[in-house]
Amino acid sequence: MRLLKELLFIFLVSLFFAGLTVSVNQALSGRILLNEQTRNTKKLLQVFKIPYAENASPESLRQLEAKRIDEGRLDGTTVYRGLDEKGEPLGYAIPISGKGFWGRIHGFLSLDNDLKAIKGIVFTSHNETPGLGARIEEQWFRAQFEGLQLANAVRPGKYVEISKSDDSGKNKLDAITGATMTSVALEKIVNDDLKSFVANQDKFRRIEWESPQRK
Amino acid sequence: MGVSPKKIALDGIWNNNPIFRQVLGICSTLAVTNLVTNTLVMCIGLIYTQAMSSLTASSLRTITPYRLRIISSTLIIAAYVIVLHNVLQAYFPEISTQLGPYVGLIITNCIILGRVEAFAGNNPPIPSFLDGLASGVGYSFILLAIAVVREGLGFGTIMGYQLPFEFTHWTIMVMAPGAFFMLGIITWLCRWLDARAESAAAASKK
Repeated sequence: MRLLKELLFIFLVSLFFAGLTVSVNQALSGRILLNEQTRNTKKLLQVFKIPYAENASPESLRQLEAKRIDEGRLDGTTVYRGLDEKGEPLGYAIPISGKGFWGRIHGFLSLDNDLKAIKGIVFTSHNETPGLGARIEEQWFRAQFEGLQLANAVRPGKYVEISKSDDSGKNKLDAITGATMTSVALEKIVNDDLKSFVANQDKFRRIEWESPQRK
Repeated sequence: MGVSPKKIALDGIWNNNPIFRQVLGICSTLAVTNLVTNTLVMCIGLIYTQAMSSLTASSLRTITPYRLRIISSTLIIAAYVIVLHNVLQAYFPEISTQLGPYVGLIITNCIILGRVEAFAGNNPPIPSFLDGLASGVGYSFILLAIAVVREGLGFGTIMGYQLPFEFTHWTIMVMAPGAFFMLGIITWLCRWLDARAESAAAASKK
């Protein structure tokens, strides 16, 4: 009898609080999804250096994306092509991801039209320490990647090295003070994804590009 | 059951402060206090979770079977934190991405379960709600004090605004050891103030 009462109690309490969380989630999920999409769109525009207003509405951002960014499929992943105002290609972007210090780091890396130099890098999600590893998002750090020639690899397969910049002409970048683990992890992510991209270059050139289809 | 609201507030904020008296919730104290803005959001989240959980657990206390109280408290706390997490994602997406996993970790913050178990379990809802608020405020002001020093010395900024003078930033303040030092210093300072007040009171009685 006592057991039955306890079971009933815990069942009712669970039911009530599960109902509460589910209904809040249901009510907000549309907004959360829209936030995520908007964030992604902004990051893609950033990686191609396509200017947009910081306070632009989600709708206008989506229109800008439809006009200036094409999508293509490469072995099951989505890759992107940026276009200038006249519709001429600006460059290409590939998703990058891998293990960071605390959790996975996701982002986009863009390359120029010849696929020979890095145009830019952005991060869409990471769990690095605020104030330390999270500084990979800062402009000065990301700017270091811009214009790096893949031909100036530190050694074959190691396209960039994130520790200390020097004047050797190789792709050596400054790491973030106090965030060695994040720097090492990011170096591996960028190099691994670039390596598999370079190996797939021929396939990449045959991709059929199309304007993104969004619901 | 006649605990006066004033006593509840004083206990939560000072006499029985969760951080420097009960030494609870140290994990988040160490983790989020290197930027004031993140700390502030974390504190607001904790005050809300603590107050609502205490209120709910207290309302259910007469019908909660004794041996199920921890399970049901955890359930209540988790539900409120998930709601908070969703609201942050929907209306404050930037802050939500910055705080990352920390919001979810409010569930495991020992202060919450501690207050729910110690106070809300045998007090009526309104005092429990007040106790939750007071404990949350007690937690928050210590965290904010730590955060102001850490961000100030570590980055030379407060809430992202540059301090009006230049100096070499203390990188250690940004990292976990900086939080340990600050926590130690603040605990010592608060207890020293307490001890001084006590001896002053004893002296005036003579």
